[in-house]
Amino acid sequence: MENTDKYGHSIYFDSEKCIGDMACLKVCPTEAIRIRNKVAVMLKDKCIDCGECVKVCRSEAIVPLTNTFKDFSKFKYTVAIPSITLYTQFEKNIKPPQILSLLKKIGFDEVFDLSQASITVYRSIEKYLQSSNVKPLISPFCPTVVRLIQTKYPELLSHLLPIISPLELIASVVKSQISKRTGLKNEEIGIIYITPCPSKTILILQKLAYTNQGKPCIDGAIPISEIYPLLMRLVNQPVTHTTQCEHYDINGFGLKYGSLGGLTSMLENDNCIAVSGVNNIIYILEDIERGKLRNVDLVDMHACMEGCLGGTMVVENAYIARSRLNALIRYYGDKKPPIGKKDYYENRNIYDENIYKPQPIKPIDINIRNAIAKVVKQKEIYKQLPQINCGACGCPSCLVFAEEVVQGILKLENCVAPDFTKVKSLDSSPQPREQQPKKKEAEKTEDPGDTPLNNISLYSINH
Amino acid sequence: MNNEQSLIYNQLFEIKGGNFIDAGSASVNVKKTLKLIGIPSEIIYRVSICCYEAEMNIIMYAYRATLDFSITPDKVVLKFNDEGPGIKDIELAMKEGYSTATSEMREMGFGAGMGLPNIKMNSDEFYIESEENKGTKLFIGIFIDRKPNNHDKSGEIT
Repeated sequence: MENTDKYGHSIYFDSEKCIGDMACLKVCPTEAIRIRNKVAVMLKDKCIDCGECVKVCRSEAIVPLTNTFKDFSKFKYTVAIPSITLYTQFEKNIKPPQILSLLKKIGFDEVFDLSQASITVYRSIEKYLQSSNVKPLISPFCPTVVRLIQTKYPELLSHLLPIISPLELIASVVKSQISKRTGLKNEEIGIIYITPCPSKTILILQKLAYTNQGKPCIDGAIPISEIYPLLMRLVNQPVTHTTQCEHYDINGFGLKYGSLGGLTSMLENDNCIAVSGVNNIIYILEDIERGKLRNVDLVDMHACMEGCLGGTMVVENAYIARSRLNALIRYYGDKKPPIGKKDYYENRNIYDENIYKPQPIKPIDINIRNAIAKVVKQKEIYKQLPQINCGACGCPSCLVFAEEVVQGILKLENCVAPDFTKVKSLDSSPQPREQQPKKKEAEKTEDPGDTPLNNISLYSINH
Repeated sequence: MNNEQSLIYNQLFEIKGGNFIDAGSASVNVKKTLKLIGIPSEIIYRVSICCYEAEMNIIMYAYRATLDFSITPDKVVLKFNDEGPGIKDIELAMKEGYSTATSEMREMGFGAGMGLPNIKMNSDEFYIESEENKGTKLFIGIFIDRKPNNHDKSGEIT
């Protein structure tokens, strides 16, 4: 998991394996992928580690940078903190305590459950909401969301809730405890997150997860998909059903944190909303930026559809996982634990407010005069293009192609799109491209192929 | 390449009154361009608030409008020109909290009577001209290098 560049991405593009079939090019919500010399490359300043490209890549060329078991041999003592999502990957008769016990069997020295820590975090959030004037606050628990805000919406960084996630809470507490108990040095103890997605490794790569003493508190992340087969082998041995599993104090109310909308339902606040999917998040962030959500207290944002249950590195589909999680919540009781009950973790959960630094995307030119000139030129070039966003040039859209031409990366000749004017002339209302009225100027035509009229005419040609 | 002609970026948008589905699309496009050029984010923030408030005013009250958006190295200019009922009493409309919004509009989170005052507060140059039953013209200028607020001597925004 070596990654030394300043952006610290959790995704790696393997040019040897890439077949250049452009699947990733089209799904990238931040237009961070180009096909150059027939292979996909990532623009590091634009990528937000959402993992959409990992999902669609057919040649296994886009690899999440996570750990494997071998990486942990350097630690003398390993601690596993599984995502709540792990509990939902197995049949309903296999309960979290058994899963946690099995994790110990496959080699972890100690295992921690997240449901208790979620309650501590939820209480801090509830408290913080009462005192905060910022509206709406945005949950920072999905690293992709944080990354998106850092790159594209830096002015919204002040909306991020300055509270650490349950994972970081446990990690920041247990290391020193174990060190005291066992006499081992901090470096000899490995805190490993069992993760549903690669983006959590950003926490490690960008060194975001720190204890209050400034030491990294999470040392590795291993995907659920990697752990699953190991656990499954043990689950299927009939003996394990009878072997006694250790006691873990699972909290049903805390388990809610694991699903999309869980946090908002824990807060019992009607002014909180939950959003998932990068494109939906962008839509909401735009609204926040325009001041449209002033009446909302908190927006819980998760880049994956269905939240962490829909992560890129899980085994079970998100909908089954959700129903299993709901069953677990019912099984353990979804009542809010009384406030008097002692929290498992001491109250050390307020972040340094300045932890999230803007990482804005590079502008078209550093000099503002040059930048304006370049944008003017870009629009001129765009007008000459077929505007069908075919992607054959290696850019996700014609507008991006025009930008690359202005930047001197590509040449106008690199546009290999066939002449579609003939197809267009079969339209019910024939209009040569050049003479299209101002509507085109109105920029709604960034994707002209998608207007219903065009679709209809193309469709009828096909038949 | 820096002759004066190429140093003005200009784009025209059409905004339709009553088109709530597309509401804010001009603002989104304006912001995209500003980001590409690398305008400082606090300036983008102010431009997008102004642009969005003005765009929503049009969508709520006017029939149709054009937005003439331009960028020069010194400032961002938004010129709105709408055909609509016009504003009877501009001075009154500039007062915070004054609104003629219907309950429907309020339900959508608008009509707090903050539109025009908000635009003025976030802009460096602000001119408004309106003729009843004809339409409204709005000129919004925001300096990129943060010169003091022309109309607001307290200059808190800048």
